[in-house]
Amino acid sequence: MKMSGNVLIKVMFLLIILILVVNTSAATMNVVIITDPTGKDPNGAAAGSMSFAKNMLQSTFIMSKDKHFAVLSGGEGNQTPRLGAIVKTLNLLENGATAADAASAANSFPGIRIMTGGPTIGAAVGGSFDVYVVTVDNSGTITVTPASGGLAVLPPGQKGAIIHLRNTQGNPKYGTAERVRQETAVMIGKMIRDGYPATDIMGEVFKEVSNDAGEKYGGGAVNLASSITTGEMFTPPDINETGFPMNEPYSKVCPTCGWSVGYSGSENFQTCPLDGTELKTIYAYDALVKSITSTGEGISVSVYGTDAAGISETTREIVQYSVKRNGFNAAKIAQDINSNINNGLLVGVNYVEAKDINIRENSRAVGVYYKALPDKRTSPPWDLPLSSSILNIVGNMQTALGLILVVLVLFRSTLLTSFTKKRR
Amino acid sequence: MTYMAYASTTETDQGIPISGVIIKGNDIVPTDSIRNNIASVGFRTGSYIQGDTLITSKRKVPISEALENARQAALLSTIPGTNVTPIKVADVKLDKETGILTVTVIEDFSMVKVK
Repeated sequence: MKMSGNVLIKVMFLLIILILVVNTSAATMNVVIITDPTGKDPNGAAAGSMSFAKNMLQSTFIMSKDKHFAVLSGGEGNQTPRLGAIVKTLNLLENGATAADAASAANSFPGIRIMTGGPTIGAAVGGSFDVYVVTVDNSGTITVTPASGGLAVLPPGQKGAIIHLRNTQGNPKYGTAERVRQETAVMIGKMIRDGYPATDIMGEVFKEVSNDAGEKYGGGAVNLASSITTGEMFTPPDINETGFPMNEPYSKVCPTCGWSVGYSGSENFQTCPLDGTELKTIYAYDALVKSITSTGEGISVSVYGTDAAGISETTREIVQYSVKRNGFNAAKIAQDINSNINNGLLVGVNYVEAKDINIRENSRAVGVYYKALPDKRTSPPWDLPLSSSILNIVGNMQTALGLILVVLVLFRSTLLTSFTKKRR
Repeated sequence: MTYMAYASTTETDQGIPISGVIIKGNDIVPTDSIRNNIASVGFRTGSYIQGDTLITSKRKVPISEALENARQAALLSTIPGTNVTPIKVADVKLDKETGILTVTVIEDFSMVKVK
């Protein structure tokens, strides 16, 4: 009797551990794609996370801007082991460890999965996972190898990808992960072979996985070569909520003039209010590709000196236009910005001079240093030949004369009578 | 006439507005999380400096105290969705002429404690 009691307790204990392990590692898609292992292609490496589960905040797709690596994990809340594994991995990568060494840190935390990678360091996943490792060699041969648990590596210098996918409990498409993981892995391999950049492939992966496996809530993705992230575009607005469904419309945009409006407000718009063209629906996976793709002729524009809404976007457009016409010329850029301050496109900032424009031509970067206007003013001070204090005095004299005239008019009968009385 | 005087003057009695926050040195922690924290202690659009006082929409704080608050706020910035605070050193400098606040931070993951 005593024996069977002991066994029962042991079995119960085992079950509880099993439930804990299953819960912490159930969810999420993690994927790293490397199409240019030299790191030269600005769109040659990307990483992304998505899940049916809640809390896919930015901590599930951490990116290092300076060292060009990503650390992906599941979004299982604020749990100590996951955070421990993330911090340990980050620390290893910051100190120059390879992707394989860093990812194996996850193995010392029960039920945790860490995927990591970068353009030149390769990619690896450690801990509890079900992945396909895709490699594509220079002759175009695609190899797709399954792996689960422990450590799986895409070596540095190798074109390829790692995709992890499991279904979350409660997902209506539960049980599809196995098939979709394989299909997506094969698709990634074919796209790498055909020469698509990693950022484009990332969009297709998000599309296929969100549609077919239902693990659809962002999450987000990062461009590892150019250090661009989707940031808070698709992440949940609050804790214990799901993010944006990646297979649903994100915005509508006018194909001719670029006017756009986000969902859900855009359901009311069918045509562009500016030129009447029919609007094009942009799905979240397309928006993701657009936001992490770095275009060759793009110019990174930084704006300093004002946080006012819209200034940095408008300045970017103006600078890009100016550079396209006149090249990197500080005087011409300043002139174009000033003409846009004059016509009211830029509001709340003072005129800029050529010395306020900082140009680094080899990295195609332009910095604009604005001076915000005081007192919530919208346009710069007028440049008049008279000083403002003289104008003030003249203005005050005018007011005084006006008041005297008013007094004269109001009391004209009294004044006239007193005047005639005096005469007599 | 008075409007012309107003429109052509370059100075106001309001002091120097906080025109922007520049954040440097962060790698993993997103710039936006640090910027939000700095904004919440008063260095945001609409605040201005008058002499040695920072005047925000909520209260008036001496500049030195406001800068110390900003430094503390920078240290408390997390990786979004976690309580991990990797910023170990922060330095804030305010240019009283232009109203630009520069925040320089250093991240260190070897000293992060996970609770």
